[in-house]
Amino acid sequence: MNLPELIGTALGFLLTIVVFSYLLGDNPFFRLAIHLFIGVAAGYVAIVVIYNVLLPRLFLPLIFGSWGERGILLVPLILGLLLFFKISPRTAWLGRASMATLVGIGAAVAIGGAVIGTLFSQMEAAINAFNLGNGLIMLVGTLATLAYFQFGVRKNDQQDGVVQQLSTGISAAGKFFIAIAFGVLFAGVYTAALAAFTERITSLWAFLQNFLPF
Amino acid sequence: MKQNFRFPWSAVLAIAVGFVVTLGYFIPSSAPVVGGTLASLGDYFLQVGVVLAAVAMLVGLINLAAVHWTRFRTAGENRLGSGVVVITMIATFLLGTIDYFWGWLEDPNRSLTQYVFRHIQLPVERSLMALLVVILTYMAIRMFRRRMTVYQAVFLGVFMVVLLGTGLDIPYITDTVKPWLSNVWAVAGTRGLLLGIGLGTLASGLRVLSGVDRPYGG
Amino acid sequence: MVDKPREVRCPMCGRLNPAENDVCQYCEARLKPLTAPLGDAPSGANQPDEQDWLGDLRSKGDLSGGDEGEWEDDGEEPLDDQRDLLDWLASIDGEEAETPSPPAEQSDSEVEPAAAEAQEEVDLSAWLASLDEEQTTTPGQPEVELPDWLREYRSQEAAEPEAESAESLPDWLTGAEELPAEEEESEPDFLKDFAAEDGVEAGEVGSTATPADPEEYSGWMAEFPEAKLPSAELESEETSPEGDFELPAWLLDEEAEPEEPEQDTEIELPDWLAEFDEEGVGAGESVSPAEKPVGAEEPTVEYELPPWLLEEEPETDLAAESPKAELPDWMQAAPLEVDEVKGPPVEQFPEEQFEDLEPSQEELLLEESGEEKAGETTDDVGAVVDDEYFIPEEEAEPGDSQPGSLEETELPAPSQETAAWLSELASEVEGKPGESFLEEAPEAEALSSAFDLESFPDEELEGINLTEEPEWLAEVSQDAALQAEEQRRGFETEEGGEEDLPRAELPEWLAAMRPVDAIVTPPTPSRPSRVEIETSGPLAGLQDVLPAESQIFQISKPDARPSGLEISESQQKHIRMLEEMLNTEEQATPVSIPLPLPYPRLFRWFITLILFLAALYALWSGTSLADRPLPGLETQATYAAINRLPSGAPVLIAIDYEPGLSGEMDVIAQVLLDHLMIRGASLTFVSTTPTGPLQTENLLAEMLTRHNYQRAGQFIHLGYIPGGPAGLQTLVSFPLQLILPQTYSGYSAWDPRQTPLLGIETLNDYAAILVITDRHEAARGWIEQVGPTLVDTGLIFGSSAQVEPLIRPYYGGMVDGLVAGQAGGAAYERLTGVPGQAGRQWDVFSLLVMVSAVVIVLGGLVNLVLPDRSQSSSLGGE
Repeated sequence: MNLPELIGTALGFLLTIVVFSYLLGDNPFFRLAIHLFIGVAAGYVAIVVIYNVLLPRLFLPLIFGSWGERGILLVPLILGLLLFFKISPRTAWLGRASMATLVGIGAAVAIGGAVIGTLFSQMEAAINAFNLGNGLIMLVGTLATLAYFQFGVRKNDQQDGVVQQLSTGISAAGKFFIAIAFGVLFAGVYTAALAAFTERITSLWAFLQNFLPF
Repeated sequence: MKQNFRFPWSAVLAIAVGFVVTLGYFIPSSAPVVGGTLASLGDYFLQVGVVLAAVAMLVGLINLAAVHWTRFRTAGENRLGSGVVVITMIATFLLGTIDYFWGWLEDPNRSLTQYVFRHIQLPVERSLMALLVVILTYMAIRMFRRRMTVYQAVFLGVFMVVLLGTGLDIPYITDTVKPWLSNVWAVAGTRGLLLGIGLGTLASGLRVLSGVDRPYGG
Repeated sequence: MVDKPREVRCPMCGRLNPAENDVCQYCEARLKPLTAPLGDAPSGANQPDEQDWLGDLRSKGDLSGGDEGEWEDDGEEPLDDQRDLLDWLASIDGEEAETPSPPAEQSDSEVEPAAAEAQEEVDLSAWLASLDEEQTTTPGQPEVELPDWLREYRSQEAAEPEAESAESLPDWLTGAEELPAEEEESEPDFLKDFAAEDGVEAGEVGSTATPADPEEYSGWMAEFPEAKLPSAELESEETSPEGDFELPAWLLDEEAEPEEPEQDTEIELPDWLAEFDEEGVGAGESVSPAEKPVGAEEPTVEYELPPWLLEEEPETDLAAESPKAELPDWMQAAPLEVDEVKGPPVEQFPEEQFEDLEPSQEELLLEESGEEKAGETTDDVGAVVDDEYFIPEEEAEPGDSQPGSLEETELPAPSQETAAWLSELASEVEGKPGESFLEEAPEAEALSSAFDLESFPDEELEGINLTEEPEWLAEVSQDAALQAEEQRRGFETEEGGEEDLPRAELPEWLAAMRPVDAIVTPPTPSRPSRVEIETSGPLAGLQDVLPAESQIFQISKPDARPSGLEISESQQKHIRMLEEMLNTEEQATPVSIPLPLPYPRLFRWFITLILFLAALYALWSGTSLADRPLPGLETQATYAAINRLPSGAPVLIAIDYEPGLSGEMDVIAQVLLDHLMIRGASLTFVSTTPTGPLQTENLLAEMLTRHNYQRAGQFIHLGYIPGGPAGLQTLVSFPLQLILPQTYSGYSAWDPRQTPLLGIETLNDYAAILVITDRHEAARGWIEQVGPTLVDTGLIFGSSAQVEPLIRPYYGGMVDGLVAGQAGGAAYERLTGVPGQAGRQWDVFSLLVMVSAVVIVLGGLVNLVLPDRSQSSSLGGE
């Protein structure tokens, strides 16, 4: 390991220890490490945005492209410049058109993706997976979860007897399946964190092995 | 009473652009008369949106720098931290600029940004994620209470089964129960959640396209 | 409580309201009285109350054009010509004001209300003008119907130039001395009218006929709690006051005790007029009406009073308690000295104006035209209204607002001209012009011309008990004063809400008249300057019609539900349900919050230590607790999909995970990349996260150490795709060359020498798309935007364990393969047989899993053993 790598590795080790020191309590070193990370991340994002997106897609075609390309890029150029006025509260109103365009496009993309990519596909999958075994469980669970989570089916004293019983059953089933789903999700989050912890310990151990006899 | 009516230009723009892009999803480009026009117009708006998204990200970064710079100049508790943010941000940008113009971005041995990323950003972020396991363990312990509801017990039980079934090789748990829970019961629940999320997304998008919601301030 | 100048206090509920409000915003009570209270700023609203009694005396059927005067509670306002009639009243005071006397000094600061007082002078004059049936002697006087005896007074006044100012005295005052004897026999028109209206025969004085309709009483008489007024006086749309009224005793005849008759004078004053004279108005010329009983030695003029005037006033006997019963108490003022009156500025009323006036009269004039005395006038409503008009002189205390004093009532403030005419009248009668009545006891002679009973026709005096003190006059006493004071305190206390004084039960109409001490006296007359003519209703064409609501006729707070509304049981049930819902909305739902474990920090340290030791042990000892897990169906499908790829097959790889979970994701990415590189796939790297390119380069740096892959030959890095789902949609819609023209380092990506992109135009040109992500949003974006457009291109996911449950529902549809988490990576390594980081970390991972599970279970058992220390708390309550 050359010197820069050694220094870098040592710096990484040190930062790892500093971050773990949060377990002892919040301290200035931890906050310093966090601020350091934020600055580095923000700086790198600026690099990617400018050199990897705006430069090749906007500035260079405007400079070196044809008139047709320039005309096409005139709209994003103007809207992009107006967006910079959002920085100041006094001139923020100038960026409203740009934000409106972004919001409109985002909403349209979300609608199209939700309808075609999720609603249709999931309903089709739920139908295709139906059988008298696991498919039935999946279908009942899907409907119960949807009814309880999305449509808020609850037990209501104002309902009639049959409807009330049905509502009670659906809500109970929905809660049951949601509890299972969240349990699995929580287990996934836990294992992901555990994997990160494992990796950290492994890297620390690897670094220490450079200096320890074992 | 005279009312000062302002034409909602922003709302009209958002609705028009969104409408065109939405129609592009459902009307193929091969459709007669409007298919090609709609597809072209929608694609153009998508390009504009991509560029605007990048600009918006840049605007956010500039605002972040301005906020921390202001904090750094004024006396405050986190003055040093804000100064570190501004300095490292500028320094990293300069390093990336050097990498870009020197062509070192894709050279792992020379790239300055790679060096900073590998030895500063990665350790900090990975360590923060590793801290999470301690906190999650503590949370899981606190879930055990006397007055536990059925659903809390189900939650904890499924969590333990899936955790043990994932990391260990426990007969019947690892190869039967855990897959059954994950592939059937959990899928049923998450599918219902996904359908709900999709419906909610659809409703939110329609509200924006109809002008009911105007998050852009129009 | 300090009243803010910008707020006024509601007389009903006691709450503060903006000054500009006319109606209380809480209880809808009128804030600004239509009739000016005594002592308040002169306002036209006060005058109607004062003038009502006179207005009522007029013939009901002789009302013309709203000439009742503004002081009429029926909402009529005096015509402009009526104001002319009364200008003389105002001018009297105005002339005298130029020569102020010491007791009547007027400060400069008090000149300001003069403008307001002028307005009130006109208003006050209106009641007098309304009595004038014939505008004979005084030019410009409105054509109002006056009784003869009043008319003669007026003519007499007209004959006295020095007694006149710009406005003229009413006839009954000017012609007091010239009241012909024969007129004593004639019934005053006002009484005639009453008689005609009420069907009371002349001479039925003292009868206790029940008024036709108590609710029809109006005017100033309504202010008397026990006065019963005749009907049909209300001509406006106002509702009649609630409760019954009883006439004051002086308007009754039989029951009133005859006062000690005074020396007869040429003019016999009725009791109520004779009381103006403190010691007997016009001692030489008139008789105190309180002292001269009707029908006594002197021929009296009997007036045919309507029943409402004849009813007894048993409770109050103000006249009896009044030491000087010559003057009516309502004319008597508490302070004898003008400067002691807290009403209008004393300087406005030069001494000469009051020389012939009783102190009570003077106080009336002063207070009615003076500034508002905050805190002094409004709270004595509880006092017997009678007392407000008749207060013994000795009861008056300087600087105090005596209960029953004029300043506590809402009589219109008398103008200077009004006071002047009275003084002038007194001086005429007494022949002592220029004498202040304060300096010497105003004799009855001063007003004898006006109050000489002999000058009244018998018919007019019929029904009026001129010989005995009205009961309500007689009952003015210190007790009444104290009572009023107590009630005032009680009213204030009620506002403060701290004392336990019982609140007087006031009739609603009376409570509505409660003077508001918090009303800020407007510098300008409250009466609108422009004349508003009623355009609809029975009062169409009349000017200055009072609005429907009146301070007297207090509108009570409406009921919660209209009385006529029928509500069914189910509706009531729904109402109760809605009320419960609304009530529970405000109640925070108690949330059971489990208290933290004891010593939480130590507990976390213990957990960290345990995990650290376990991991170090696993690393140090190399203990393998479990073999690599068996791959699941989705993992096997992934393996199979990649295995099917031909050599050199273009594969698009999206590196969409954050550096935080790179410890787990790198394991998955490496095993998949290893397999792809083994298969010789042509790789194209993209990323939808800003840090993705860095992650890609870091990953490639690791992979290139194991695989001999060449950049631009076997793989290419195209960098970052902004926009999230929108950017992915552009990948679908546009040729890739347009979307990704350059590599990450800035070189042209679509150089023909860049073999990884040969033949690539759209996404469907790729053999497979591998998305390695740790975020659900990125996964959903690829699935929703790209997935539906793929035809033969497989969509494979390498995901974190935390995202796997949300991607799994798509597996079997748009997702062709899934490798999730550390276990998935280890299982995939088991399939490929290529040792990698997943296998190296699996031992540590599995040991940590077991240790974590044990710690959780043991810790949970300890938590179960410990007593339940959860606490319920409402959200946001702490």
